[in-house]
Amino acid sequence: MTASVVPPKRGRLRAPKFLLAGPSIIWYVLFFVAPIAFIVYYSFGTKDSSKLVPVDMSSPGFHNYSEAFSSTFFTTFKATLRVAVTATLLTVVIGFPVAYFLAFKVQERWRAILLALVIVPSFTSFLIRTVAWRIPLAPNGTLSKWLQDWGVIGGPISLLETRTAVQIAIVYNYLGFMILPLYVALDRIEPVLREASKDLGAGRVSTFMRVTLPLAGPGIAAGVLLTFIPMCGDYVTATVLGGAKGNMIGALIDSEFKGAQNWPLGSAIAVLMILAVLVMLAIGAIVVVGGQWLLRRMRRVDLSDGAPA
Amino acid sequence: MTAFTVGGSTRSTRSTTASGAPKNRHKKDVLRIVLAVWCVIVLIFLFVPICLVVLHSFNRGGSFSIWSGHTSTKWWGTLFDADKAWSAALTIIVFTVVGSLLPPIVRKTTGWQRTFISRWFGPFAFLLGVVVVALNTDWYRNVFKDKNLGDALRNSFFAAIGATIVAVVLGGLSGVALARRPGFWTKPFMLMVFLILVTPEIMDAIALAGWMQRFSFGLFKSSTGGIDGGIFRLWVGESLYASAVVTLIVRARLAGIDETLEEAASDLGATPGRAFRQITLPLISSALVAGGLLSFTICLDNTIIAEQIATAGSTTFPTYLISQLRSTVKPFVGSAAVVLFIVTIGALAFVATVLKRSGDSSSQIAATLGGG
Repeated sequence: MTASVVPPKRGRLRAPKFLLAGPSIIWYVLFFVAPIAFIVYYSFGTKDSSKLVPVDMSSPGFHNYSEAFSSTFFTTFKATLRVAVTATLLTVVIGFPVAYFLAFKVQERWRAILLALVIVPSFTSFLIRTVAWRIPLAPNGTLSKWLQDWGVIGGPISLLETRTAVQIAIVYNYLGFMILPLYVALDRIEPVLREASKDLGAGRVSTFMRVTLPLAGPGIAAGVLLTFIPMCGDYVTATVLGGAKGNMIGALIDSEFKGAQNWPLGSAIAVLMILAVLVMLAIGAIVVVGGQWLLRRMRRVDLSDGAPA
Repeated sequence: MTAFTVGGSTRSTRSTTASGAPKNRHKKDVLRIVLAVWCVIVLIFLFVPICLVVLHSFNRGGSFSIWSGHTSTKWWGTLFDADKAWSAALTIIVFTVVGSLLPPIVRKTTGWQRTFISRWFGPFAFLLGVVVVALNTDWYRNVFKDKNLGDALRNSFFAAIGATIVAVVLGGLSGVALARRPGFWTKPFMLMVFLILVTPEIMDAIALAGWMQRFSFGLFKSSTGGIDGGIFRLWVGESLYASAVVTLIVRARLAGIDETLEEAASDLGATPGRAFRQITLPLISSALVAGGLLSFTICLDNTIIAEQIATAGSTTFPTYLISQLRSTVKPFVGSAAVVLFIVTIGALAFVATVLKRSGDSSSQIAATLGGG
């Protein structure tokens, strides 16, 4: 009797909980999947300013894509990818020692404070941090005057409105989002593994290359995903610091949508941007996996040579 | 100032190692010193622009980016109506202090023990203070002297609060569902959450802008019964990323606790709704608060989506700031930025406290914030 009562109760508990995800699914389909699907759809249309949604879909084709590959757009594409790749590499190079220090070389009580000091600037307003760079980069600002007085530079700083300014600010803006995942990955490495490597006679460099770095791999991958992809679409930094010379893909898409009202072309550029990001990530993954494979092969030869001796 | 603290901390780190070094570390660790110096340099790099913003909000000259050589609080006076700002701040402080002192007193005198209520009483009183200030139309309308900037800041807060509520509800529900009812739908759903987190914001922004133009009636109309519909647009646009973040935090919180408690409740005759209210909700309350505050800071800062979908009446602070960049930026924009810094830092400190109280280590907190 009781046994027959209990299971339906469980069932009653079970059914609504799967439905708990329902609102999110509806929300994401309505406001994420469907709108983006329409962007892909628009990218095959032509501009028609007379409509509320200024897209004419009567003769779909790839003409927007061929226009997006024309020289001006293509230069911006290349420049954006160059800025993003350089910035990602720089954030890894700058951020890894910090994450390593925080994970292995600092005492627990200082660790919390230092982590907070990394987190706080990363979560304060992105835009305000970018605008803040206008202060040191201003040609008639204090820093510029000091550097001229000390004779470090001949004329005023002329970085504002250039790609260098964008590059510096992008590294700055995303550094924290690289350090945090790197730290998390390094922190999860069991100290025992590194100790074992040292006990077995591996030097510091060797322990780092063969134990720490491979185990930090997921963290580096997460950091790259969290920084490289948003960098490619970032147009705030370019708009605030780059002026016309610092144009990036994001700014192009923005001007096609808001300025020129050419939605089909803007959509095509956006779709190409996503494709370019995926291709870059694929190249990165192939390089890493290929490198690991090569390394493993080399080491295997090493071992068989050394074994008899 | 910050640089000084950082320098101080590393110096003492080094001295403690020198005196009380662990046994397996035989000599002075040069690498450690080099890394410490590097860490300090990077932290200074991270903080210098922020310190410059704070400094320049006290600039006496007429431009935000050129330092006049003299400090002055005159631009803060331009931002706030001093009397109203002080009375508003005082109200909020009184509410918070009374709210934090009340639970211990009540517990002592009446023996009333409900940890859930006493734990959140202080923050709740703080929110109540904010609401009282916001409902007082005189303060609400006139605390900021510059009308456009005041409107922008208010819109930012409204948009962020609405989007946070949406994100907490959606993220909380789907986080529970992911942790408790994994199944065929888990993988596609997690893929969608992941895509929302990594898609470049400009893509979401133009997609939503087009979508809302297509369906620009009902709530997304530019004015809906006296309320500007642009706010609803911002709630939708800003809630996507935020709800993905809340989903992950709630799921991570529940993943460590199995379902026996809920099953026990249902065996004892609790309805699913009651089991959810009395067991699941208290379990995830810290995750909801942490996720909510994190969403709030993220939404407050949202630039790209707001820039594309906001209507003329729902300009947020970032959009306002971008429009100001075309001419000379006035230092009171810096003052407003400092106000937002304080709000963000307060929210982050609260997130850290909540997570710490629920038993997270500093590394786990970093993992939560770092999108892990």
